Amino acid sequence: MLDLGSLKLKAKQSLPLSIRSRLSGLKPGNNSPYNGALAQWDQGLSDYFVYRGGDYSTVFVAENTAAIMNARHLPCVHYLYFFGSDGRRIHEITHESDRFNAVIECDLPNDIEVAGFIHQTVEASAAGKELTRQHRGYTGYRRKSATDAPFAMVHGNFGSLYYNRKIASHAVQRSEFVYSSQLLYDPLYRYELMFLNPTPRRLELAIGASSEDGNRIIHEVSIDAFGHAVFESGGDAGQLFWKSKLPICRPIVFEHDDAGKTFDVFHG
Amino acid sequence: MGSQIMSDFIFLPKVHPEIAAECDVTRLVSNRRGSTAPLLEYKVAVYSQPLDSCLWKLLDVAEFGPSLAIKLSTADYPLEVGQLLVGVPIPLNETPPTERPDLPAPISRRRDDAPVAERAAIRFVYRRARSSYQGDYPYGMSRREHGSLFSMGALLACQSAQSKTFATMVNVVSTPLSGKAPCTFTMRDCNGRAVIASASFVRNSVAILEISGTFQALAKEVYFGSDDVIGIPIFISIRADGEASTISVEHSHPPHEYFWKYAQEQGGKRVKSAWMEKVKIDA
Repeated sequence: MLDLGSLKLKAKQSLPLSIRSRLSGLKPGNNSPYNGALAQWDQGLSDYFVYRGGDYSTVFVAENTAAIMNARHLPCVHYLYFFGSDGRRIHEITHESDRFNAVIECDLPNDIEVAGFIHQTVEASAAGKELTRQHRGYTGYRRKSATDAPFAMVHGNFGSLYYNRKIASHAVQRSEFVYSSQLLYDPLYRYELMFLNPTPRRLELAIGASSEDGNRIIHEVSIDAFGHAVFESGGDAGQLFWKSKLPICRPIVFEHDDAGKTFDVFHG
Repeated sequence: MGSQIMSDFIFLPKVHPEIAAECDVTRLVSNRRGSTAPLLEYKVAVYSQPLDSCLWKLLDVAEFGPSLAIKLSTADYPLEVGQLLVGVPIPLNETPPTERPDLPAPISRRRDDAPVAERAAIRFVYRRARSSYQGDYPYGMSRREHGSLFSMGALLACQSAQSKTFATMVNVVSTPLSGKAPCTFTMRDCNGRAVIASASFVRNSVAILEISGTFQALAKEVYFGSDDVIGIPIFISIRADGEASTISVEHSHPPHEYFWKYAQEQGGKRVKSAWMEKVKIDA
């Protein structure tokens, strides 16, 4: 039997794509992860990325979107703004390049283990500023002791953030959503789930585990505006899910093997 | 039919004899409203198409039974390098044919209007190391037999001279094919458009370009493309080092994702035409 949600979805999907696009552009539904404001920030909106210090090196592959859309080298300054778990700005990196993709080593003070960061670009040329750009980019992680290993790469996932004297965002919280990871958690591994709050409001998050016996909440956390939180779990907890008011809430997951020899990073 | 519009295939490419692709598929709805039921009822028909055939062969039907999740792996089936496993979510009461020219539309695994793609955790395993990403092949994409692909080589930009990368492109066409004309997947120099490497492949397979560590160390700016078909570019970097061997996997952004949502269609076309047009002028 279909529930109300399924019926609404079927009704919406029966409309032609062109009409659906126009309707969603007029007024975002209460399932939209973004507010309806027109985004016209000429430095580009950014996904929210994770920096990892301590035993790890972090690099960011920054895309020069103005150069890419014009298919020629254009000089730009890449700005990376870093934020602590309380959402306050803690560091900034600038990097000048005219290349299509700039590799930026994130060299932060030693006491910063984890941070969220965003990416913006400033170009002298007006080329490319007529369309609002979204900075996606790729973050790479590697153990400092394994300099020959390939970086474990993860692409930008979700954002719409920007920094204009202070951090701001088009991301919004709405009613409750439940995100279930499709990963089969493995008892031979341990996991760190890094949750970023891309909104200007405190985010309440409840993490649970599903099993054949049902669901149970195992951890609750409150994340400051633009802050982050790390949840650690063994692989034997069951299938993890999390409830929040973010329409899309996907953490960056670090997976470590028991022997400590390998690790992986991906979107939850 | 409406709910099938947004549905997705699960795919596993065989890219190298030593690299297995596997995935976790769960009965849990990926993203849902708090009031929506959490579990789905379906099974997965597992198909593959031989490289020299236009027919999909049913290899398996994976059922969950009492479990929340099932695992599929290329290691469990006799596949050639370049072949794909394609998992099709189908209703429990459906009996899939053992051979067919097309792929059935996958059922939707969404249950309400919560925004999400219907993905699986796709994992590549190399020796003791493994690397995952959340992947899917949208049904809408699979309906296009012809098209073109453009992808910047950003994922090669920081990899070490001691590792090598398989730049791959997965193509799935769910409509019947009349033949298997050869297609080309190329890596070009951004600053001259010259072809540096190219691979020939056929539809319903994975194109593979092996890029050495020596080349990566040059830090050349490159892009990848095909003038024949659309597909999903996936970059798999490995380093052989016995027990400490490592692997990293990620897919690249399609061009429209360089832009904010209202500008995506216009921006994506502009990027593609800027690069594809350059090639035509230079050719």
